[in-house]
Amino acid sequence: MIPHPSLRYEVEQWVEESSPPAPLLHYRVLSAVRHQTSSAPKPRSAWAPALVAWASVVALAGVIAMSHLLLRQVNGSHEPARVGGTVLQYSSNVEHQYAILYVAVHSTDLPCYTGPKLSLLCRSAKEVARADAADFLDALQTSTVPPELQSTNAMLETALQRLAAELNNQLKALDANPSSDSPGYDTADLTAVSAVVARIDCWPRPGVPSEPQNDFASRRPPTTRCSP
Amino acid sequence: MGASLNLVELAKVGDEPAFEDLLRPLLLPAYKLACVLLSDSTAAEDAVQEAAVKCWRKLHQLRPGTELKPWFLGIVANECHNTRRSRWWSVLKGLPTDHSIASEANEAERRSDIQRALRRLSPRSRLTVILYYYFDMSLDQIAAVIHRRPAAARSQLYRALARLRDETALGYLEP
Repeated sequence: MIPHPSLRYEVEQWVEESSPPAPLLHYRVLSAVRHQTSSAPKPRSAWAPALVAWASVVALAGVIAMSHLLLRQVNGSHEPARVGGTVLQYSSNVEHQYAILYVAVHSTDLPCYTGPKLSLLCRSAKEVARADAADFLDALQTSTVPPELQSTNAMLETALQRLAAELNNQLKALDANPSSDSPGYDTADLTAVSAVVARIDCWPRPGVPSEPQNDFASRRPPTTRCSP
Repeated sequence: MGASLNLVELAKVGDEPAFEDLLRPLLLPAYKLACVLLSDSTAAEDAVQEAAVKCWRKLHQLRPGTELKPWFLGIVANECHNTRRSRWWSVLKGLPTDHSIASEANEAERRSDIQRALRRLSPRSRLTVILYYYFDMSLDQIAAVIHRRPAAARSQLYRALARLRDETALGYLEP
């Protein structure tokens, strides 16, 4: 590289022409530095940036871990709430209808268990239970079913139709021979309906219906257990 | 050199008078550099002031054995670059006044072809040429200012000189 004397001269001329005198430059700049010194902490030592960087990394990792745990906690404890009010409305409606049906079906136990002596009472109780099953079906068919529970709702409808058909057959058997110990005096089987209702109660976890209770004094629907 | 190193070490631990002693001889060169890069003396003073404050804040980042002058001029050049990039700068520079138009016309007549060619260089080429021809910096020092390798600084300087040669039809650089 050979610096040309003429070019050097031109560059010097250019720089000198471009920079007019600035008599207050020193004062201005040093004042700004002093102001900075008085208002801000003094320069840090060489290891400080590394320490700050490490502290930032550790803090960031902690924040990420905490966020992850919190999100897991929130998702784990509020999963049904994610789907909005429709699931809750639907499941509460099912629970209400199921409670009515449960009481009606178990109200047939005592009069029908005793056989022909209480055949009229047995028949009346079975008619109530059949009507409640039909009401339950109507309620399902007129309610808005959440998309995620469509298949479960279909299973519940099938179970209720079978229950209603079973009650109907028992009523026909009673009508055919009211004085004998015919199948018309058997208690209708609610197990299939209970199992599907348990799935709705525990949605989105699998539900396990409680054991059938043969306690005549109890007229409350069984509590369902949801798998953890 | 040894006294300067002591001043740097003192300034690094927060000795303000030591920092002022270090900075004082660098302010005028920095101002001239900023004036050429920005073509505006007021903006140049602002850039130097901002660069001085940043230098004070970041002095701990200065590696042992590194010269302060190229490092500080690098901060000044970066500050000028930021000023040119700012929106206000482009707005203000895009509004020429009658006075500025007339004075620029007079200036243009007075200037030589070489100076006109120098003013048409890109900011980075302008910076390299000034550092080499005005501040008498080595390629290593220029590389420290523009944050490039010495070979890249050399290429930059060659390109600038080639452009000057093309525009002025003069042979400034012997092949």
